[in-house]
Amino acid sequence: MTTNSRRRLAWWLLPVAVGVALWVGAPALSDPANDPTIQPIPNFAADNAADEAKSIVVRVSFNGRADATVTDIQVVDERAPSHLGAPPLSKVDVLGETGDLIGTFNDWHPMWELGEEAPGGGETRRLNPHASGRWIAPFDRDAATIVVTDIAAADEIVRADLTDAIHDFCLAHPDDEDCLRADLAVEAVTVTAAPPIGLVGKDATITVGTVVTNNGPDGPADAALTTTATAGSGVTVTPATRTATLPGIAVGADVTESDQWTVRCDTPGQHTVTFTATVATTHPADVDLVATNNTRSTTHTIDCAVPVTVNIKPGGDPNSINLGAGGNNAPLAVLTTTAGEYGNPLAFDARTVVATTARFGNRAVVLGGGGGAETHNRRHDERSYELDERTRDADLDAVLHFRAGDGGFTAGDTEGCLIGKFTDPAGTFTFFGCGPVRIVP
Amino acid sequence: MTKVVYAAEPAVGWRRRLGAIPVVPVLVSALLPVLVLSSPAAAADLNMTVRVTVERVEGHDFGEDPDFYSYVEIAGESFNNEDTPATDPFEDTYTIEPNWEFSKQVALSSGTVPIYLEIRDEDGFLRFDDDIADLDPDGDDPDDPSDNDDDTDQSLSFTLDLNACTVTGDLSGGCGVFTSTGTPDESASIRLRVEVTEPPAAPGIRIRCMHTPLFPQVGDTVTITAEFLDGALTPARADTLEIWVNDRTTPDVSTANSLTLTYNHTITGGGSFSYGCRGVDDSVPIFTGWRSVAATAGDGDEVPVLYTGSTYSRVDWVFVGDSDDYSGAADPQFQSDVQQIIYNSFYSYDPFLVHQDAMSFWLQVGTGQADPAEDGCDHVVPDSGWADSVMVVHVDSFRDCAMGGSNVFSGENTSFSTIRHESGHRPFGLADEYCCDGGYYQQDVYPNVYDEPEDCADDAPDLGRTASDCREFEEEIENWDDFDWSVSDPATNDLMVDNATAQAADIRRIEWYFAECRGAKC
Repeated sequence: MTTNSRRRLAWWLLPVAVGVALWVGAPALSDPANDPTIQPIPNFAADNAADEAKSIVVRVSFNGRADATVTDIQVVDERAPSHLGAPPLSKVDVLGETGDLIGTFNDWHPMWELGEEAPGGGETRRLNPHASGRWIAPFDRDAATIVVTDIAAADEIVRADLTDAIHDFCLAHPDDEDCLRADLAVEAVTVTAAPPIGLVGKDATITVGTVVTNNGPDGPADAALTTTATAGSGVTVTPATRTATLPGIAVGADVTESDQWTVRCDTPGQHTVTFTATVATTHPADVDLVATNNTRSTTHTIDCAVPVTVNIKPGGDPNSINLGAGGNNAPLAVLTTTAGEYGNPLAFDARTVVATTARFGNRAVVLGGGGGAETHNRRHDERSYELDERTRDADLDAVLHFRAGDGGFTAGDTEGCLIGKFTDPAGTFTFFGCGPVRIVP
Repeated sequence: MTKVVYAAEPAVGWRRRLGAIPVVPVLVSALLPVLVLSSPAAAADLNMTVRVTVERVEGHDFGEDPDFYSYVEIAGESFNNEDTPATDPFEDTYTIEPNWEFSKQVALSSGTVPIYLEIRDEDGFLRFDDDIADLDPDGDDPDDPSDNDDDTDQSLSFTLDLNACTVTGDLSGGCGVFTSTGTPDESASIRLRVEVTEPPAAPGIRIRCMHTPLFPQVGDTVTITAEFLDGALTPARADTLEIWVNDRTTPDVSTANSLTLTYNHTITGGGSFSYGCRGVDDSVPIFTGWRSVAATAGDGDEVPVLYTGSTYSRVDWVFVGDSDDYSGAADPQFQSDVQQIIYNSFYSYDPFLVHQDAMSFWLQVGTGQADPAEDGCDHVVPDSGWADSVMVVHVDSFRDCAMGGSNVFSGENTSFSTIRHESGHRPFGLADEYCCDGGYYQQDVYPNVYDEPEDCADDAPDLGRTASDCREFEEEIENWDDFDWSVSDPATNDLMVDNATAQAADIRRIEWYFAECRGAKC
């Protein structure tokens, strides 16, 4: 064969040779793909890194079928098993805060021990009365309770609270995606409304406003605001504690909670009530890692006055108050009374009234620091008329005089009030009393 | 318009090869594969694994943080992983990367396979409460005044051509990675992978493949051995045997007409290596699937020595060395003993071997302590509560046992059949079938033991039996219950009787369990 002939033959054989080689070397069409080239290579490191599953492990100790004790509850940083093949021996329900069913699965019963009768021998089932075991449930941030039922006996064998374990986990792992970090803070505690004075033996209402915020970084967060009221001596406050739920405080939002408290003066004088507000997250998976701004207080001082009986224009009725010149020297008597007389809780000696401190007029005006002053700057101690305007008892009362026009009265007023100081051996205190008037313009 | 990102991996292999060859010279010879494809025997025998993997979901415009799960249909079989361990970690999250795998074996001869996919937002326990995330871009657009707001198609439907490994429909292109985004509101962007891969077994042929040492270190040379087997797991010659290591472009070694193939691979770095073994016989290929092997301990309590994929789509066994006999995962004797267990208990047992791509094996880094039955069976093991089954391996002979309150059992290093039996209990949930003193219960799904003989009789036809095959025995469980039990599996030569062959009821439940796992539910 010539060289050219060999070349020609080679040229004709080449495609066939290549084709045959291709067919032999390549998969047949019944082999639709050279499979290892398509199937992804499993990457356990990446899979593990992407898997942020957690589980709740509840460990129990049995001392008889109906005697199970929870020995430990933990949230662990690995997934729960599938429970796919578990037999219907125990039934595990995970419940939310309101009892809603979050998840359920069957599982083995810890008392069921499957063991060899002899080493290497056949298997036998034994009920181990002193078994220990565990149930592992998928983590859910809203899980609150786990309930385990012995299916055959239809008995509830375990009911356990999961919230502490969830909270502990989130405290330890605040950056976990299922945990929420909320820096809740009490920004202000303020007495927003209170009477200028309290009266011994009478209730007074104080309103306290508390401003709570969420400094983040996560939100919204449900919060519980607990406020305690601590009363100093001479005063009582109720209730001692109030708790409010503040749902869904968004990051940066201010939420104001306003509460009313009842304060009762027991003794005269300046007394204090301290209101302390503390905010905390309520969801077990929410954590507040900045505790220093969770509590704030305010102290309110209340002037507890002694209620007194005032007879305006003693000896006459009605008690006409002329706001003109005719009322420039309107008299009134502060009566000396015993405890219980006219409903007054304390005895009062009107001779202790410091006349220069007395102010008479419209209730709001005198409680606001206004009102007419005693026109003579002195007290007139005398046996004045009781409220029946006929009787004069044996004790000395304090008669005072005021310019009615300074009292801030308006035409519709029907009462006039007197406030002032009195001094007794225990100190100087406030007194307060009112009586009926008829305003004569 | 559907947004499609083509596969990052090579597209269909043989098409790429053909594309690289001049067409004219091979025109005649190119017909030869077609003839092979036309062979009824080869095509009919081959089942392909169709796998849909939901890699990433990003929700849009849901009122509350969504609890996503998938509903998938592959060739008419539905998969729904609602409220399973595979979905629990991703609750209340808008953007998830779950890698949920759904796979089904489909006959290549069926040509095309319909695939349907929904992403749902679980709103409650009742199905009708759930919202469907719109994945289909051809839908409702509230910003478009001309839109008729008739967006009823929120799912993705497409047809997979098994031979070409291409999809058409709501997605189109070659097998690989696709993305799609629906229209507002309550929509989602999804990234999914569609694959057609060779099965790990085919009728009449199997492949077994292992490496040694089981937990090598960087710098070690690992010996990988592939064995081709027939359906009875006896050695058989393969037309082609291949071992692939790390590189998906070509096998590292191959041979023709051989029973086995061995390859030595030196681990040079990276902390792991991956391999798979492939055999082709009579044009029917089977592939073990890629497995990854750790070469460093890493951060976890366990090291994967045969990792085939996500734990949510695999059955995972963890082996713990008894501290009396082993020093932990690095102990060569422990590795050798566990290798023998995997080889003999799992890879030499056909019901397990045919699912080798759905099983992963791990070693506990530390050690545990097996507690004999007579001492209370209180095994002490590091936490591996996530695993489907945990075995404390020991050498000494004593009464082995399984703890009732965990997934842990003990076993001697050479008790291969016992280990299979215990695996029947955990993870597959099979009850004992022997009389007496066994562990008896009736599973809700695919039981192998029945409370009532009527249940056994009713179920018998589904197992290819008749009611007369049911046998009864009475078992009084002290302080528990008295029961008459019924079983239709035979009284001997049975996995749950004498640790032998898995019989019909055993196989049915094992198959169901693997199927559930393949549906991302385990």
